[in-house]
Amino acid sequence: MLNIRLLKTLLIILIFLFSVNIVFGVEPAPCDPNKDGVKVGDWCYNCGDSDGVCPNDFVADTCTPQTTIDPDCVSGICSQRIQSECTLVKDTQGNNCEWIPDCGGVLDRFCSYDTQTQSCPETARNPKQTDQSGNIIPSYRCVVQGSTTYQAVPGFCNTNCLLPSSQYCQQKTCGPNMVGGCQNQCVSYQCQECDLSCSCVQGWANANGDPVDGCEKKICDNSETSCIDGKDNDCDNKIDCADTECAGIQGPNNKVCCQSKNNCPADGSVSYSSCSNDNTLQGTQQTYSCTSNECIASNQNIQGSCNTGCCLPGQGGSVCKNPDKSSMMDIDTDAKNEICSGVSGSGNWIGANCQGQSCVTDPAQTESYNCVADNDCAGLNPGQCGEVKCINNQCITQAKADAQSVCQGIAAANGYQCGVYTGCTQTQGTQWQCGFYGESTLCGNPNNPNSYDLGCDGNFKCTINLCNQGQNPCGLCYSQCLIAANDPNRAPYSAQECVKNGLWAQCGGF
Amino acid sequence: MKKIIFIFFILAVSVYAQSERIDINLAEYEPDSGFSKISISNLYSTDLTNVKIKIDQSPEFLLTETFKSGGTVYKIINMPSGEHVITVTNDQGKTETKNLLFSLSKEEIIKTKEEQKKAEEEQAKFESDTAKLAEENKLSSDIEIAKEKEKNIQAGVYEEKSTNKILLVVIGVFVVGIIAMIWLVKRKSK
Repeated sequence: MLNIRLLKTLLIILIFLFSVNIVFGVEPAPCDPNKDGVKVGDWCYNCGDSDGVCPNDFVADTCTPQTTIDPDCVSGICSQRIQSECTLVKDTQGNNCEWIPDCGGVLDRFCSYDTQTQSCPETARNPKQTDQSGNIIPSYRCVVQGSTTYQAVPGFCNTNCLLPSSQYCQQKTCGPNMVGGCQNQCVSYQCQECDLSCSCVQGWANANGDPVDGCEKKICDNSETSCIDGKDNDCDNKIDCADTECAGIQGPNNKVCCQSKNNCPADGSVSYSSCSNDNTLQGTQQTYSCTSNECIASNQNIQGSCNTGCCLPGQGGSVCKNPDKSSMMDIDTDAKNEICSGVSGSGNWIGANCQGQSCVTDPAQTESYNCVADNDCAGLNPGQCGEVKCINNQCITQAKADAQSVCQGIAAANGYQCGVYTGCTQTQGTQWQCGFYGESTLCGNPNNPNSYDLGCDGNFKCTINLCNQGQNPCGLCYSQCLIAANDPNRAPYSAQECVKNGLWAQCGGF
Repeated sequence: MKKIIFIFFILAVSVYAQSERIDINLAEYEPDSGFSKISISNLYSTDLTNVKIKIDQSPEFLLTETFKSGGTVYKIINMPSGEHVITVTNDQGKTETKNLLFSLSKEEIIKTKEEQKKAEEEQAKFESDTAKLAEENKLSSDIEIAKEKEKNIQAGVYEEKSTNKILLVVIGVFVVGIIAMIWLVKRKSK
């Protein structure tokens, strides 16, 4: 009982003292670091109410770095805590914080909310896979959020590799026009940078030494040194046959390079195998065309005109024959000659029609033909006043149109004094000769054409003395006529009459 | 009687018509010298004026200005051998034309024959030359065509048909075989 009274008394005293302290304003005591209390401002607080780590229990953000962990100084945000602080106290929301070793990354730490936040799922915290060395392989990878925080996300990690395989590491490649490169190697789940080794491809140079931007300077020849190497040797953006310098030169694909047909080989000679008609050859020719800068060969069906010549066919070939006597032959084996005429402007076989590989007799022209022009008949002798002519493609002779003047020329050349042209007549074979007769009146006195004493001889010369002409007993020469005219018993009755008659015909005369 | 008179009349007219003409004849001719004497007679009952003579296609020469009826004029001219056309004209329009044959002398016949022979030889030579030329042309053409054919064969355009001869031989053997079989069958049946 006594003890109860004692306890009651003590309690009353305490209540009294507390009440007095409150009612009368108890002065804060100076803070003694060595005692269980702390002075903040003018107040002194009982250190026993805190975690026992002074002096910053009651003031937020006043923590100073120290080795001893003070729960009051732990961040209210889980992710900002280090591993030793992680689970020390709840965060500002009253949630528990939890250290998740799975989410170790570059910083090798992660403190997250509790499992209910699902920031780092259960599976992330219980890795089951291990690599060949027995290291645990996290099934979740972490990515950086901000600069210090990590988020566990399945399948990704900023470290690039958590598997001990280089396949997750970046492959370093060289720049354009380079060969080389390297593969970053994975060491302890981290990609180690490999040494990039690059070199320029042939024809290129690295001007700035940086392999990343490649070899930017092209090494060029002065010309397209090769037209079959598939390269732009002279850096004019034209490769092989596309380069004008290769025109006419052998290019790739065993074809000649070209810019136009002129650069290609000359078209092959035409091979003619038959005739379309008398004037047209038919055959083939290898020709070239310039397609995509390459000379492409192809066989073309060709029809060639013989112009004024004629197509002569044979077994497997055909040729053009000239429209003249050189074409004269028996082309249709009818024992008669045919000849090519180009008179109409296009060659035509006179005497035959040719087509395909043979010729047949032209039913409208069944004779033998041997000329096209007059000079084809030069072998014929036309005589004095004749001429050779090619009429209807056959050689003939005929009197010249100016035969009279020709013959008179001959008469003059032969010194005919009394030859009178009587015509040009065909005498022997093909010959045409001048005809003359002797006209004695032409032997008259030039001063008096009606008077003459001389007659015309066989050479058409005035040599026959009519006054003593035994062959002409009835004739009188001019001088005799004069005598006769003076004799009234004898005719003629005048000198003029005598001469005009030519002869005074005593014998049988008038 | 009337008929007789009529016939007589016709005959008389006809005789008269026959007599009314210019008569042209070759009176004399010496082939060696060509001397000829042509007689032209005026058988018309009237005189003719400005009578002219023409030999073949020669110009006309005045024969006489007045040719009295019944008269005859001789024309002495020098004519080469052969047949010549003598034409006589006059102002009265009574033209007469006659072909006169001036015969050849022996020498001229020989000469003509020689010329004929020569002309024939020339003609034959021309034909021979023509034939020879045709042959040469054919030969050169065959060579040209053979060259063309060779080109065609090389170009693959033409393929020479060499099977014809073989085919003919095969057909021949086949025919002989059939004949032999027929002969054997007939022989057996006998």
